[in-house]
Amino acid sequence: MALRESAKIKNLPIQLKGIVNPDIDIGIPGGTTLVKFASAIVGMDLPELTRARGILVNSLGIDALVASSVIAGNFSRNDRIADATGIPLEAEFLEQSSNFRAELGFNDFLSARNSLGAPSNP
Amino acid sequence: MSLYADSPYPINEEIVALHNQELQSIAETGTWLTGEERTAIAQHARFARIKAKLQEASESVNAPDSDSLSSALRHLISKVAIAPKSIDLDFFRKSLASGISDEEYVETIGIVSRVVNLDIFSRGLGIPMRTLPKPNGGKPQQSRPASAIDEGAWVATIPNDTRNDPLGRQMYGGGPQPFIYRALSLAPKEAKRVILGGNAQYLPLDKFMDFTYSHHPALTRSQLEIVAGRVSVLNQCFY
Repeated sequence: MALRESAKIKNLPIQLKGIVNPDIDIGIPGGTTLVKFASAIVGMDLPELTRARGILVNSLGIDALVASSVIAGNFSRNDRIADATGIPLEAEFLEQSSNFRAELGFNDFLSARNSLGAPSNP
Repeated sequence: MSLYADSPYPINEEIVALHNQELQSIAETGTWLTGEERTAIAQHARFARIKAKLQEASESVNAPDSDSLSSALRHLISKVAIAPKSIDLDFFRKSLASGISDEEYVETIGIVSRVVNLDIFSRGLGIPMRTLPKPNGGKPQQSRPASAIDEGAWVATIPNDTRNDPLGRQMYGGGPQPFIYRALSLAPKEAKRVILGGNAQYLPLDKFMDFTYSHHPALTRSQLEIVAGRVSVLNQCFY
């Protein structure tokens, strides 16, 4: 939601699908580099992380690397807390994200049940 | 010596100070667990992630004392550290049925999540995990917040209306907090750390709806949200 709104303010047409599919360019400068770094920092492939770090530093600078690492750490923490305590998404954000959640596959996450309820059997 | 003196990249003082406090707080007596138990939890989380190849081994990390934690607690720690996306209500219920209290569950989630936060940051920079301080010897108060209620999460939480709740006011700082900052309020010290961490690492809460604001000048808000969004997608976190 915050990604979409921050892009809208700057009149940047974005493709949110780039968040779930790294092959799609989100449309934000440096977006592909940041997606690859974010994927690598929480992934198992150390050489890939080293590559992604180098590309990030060369294209966006060392402060961007530090900031990206800070954000990746922060949200790795938040995700664990949210998933392990079963907190539901606030109603206003649930409504604001309804038009893209299904398209991006978010409704299929196990943790979606904490906000949407368990899927009914067919 | 600065906590990140070995980093090839300069790290701003706000983050250095926060991470120093985070490390120290893990080793301190919690609301429900001792410093020894909390440190053992953090060590077990680290080793689980090393074993899963999500974190690189480091000489600065001591081997966990497996005997000090129950097998149920070790299972919980590993799950949160390695595979949070596979946690569901059934897992939560089984954790409690195995003898972990809801308060211990919440405090454990806080410790594991916070040490993972620190370790992923270090990993991003290509530096080793930071050494945990030695645990202190205090005794936890083990006092359940009287104002904690069912707000829709699996665990009880302290609601935003803190007019008659000094503990809640102290924790939330007088303003309403999103659910992610209230989630651990059964262990108030953990909840407070999460709020402080979010304000320093992501952005101050009063800036959340200002979509032109970035707390990290090297990245625009959109760029910052790309990193946040991608990490959360990989963790399959709906929240």
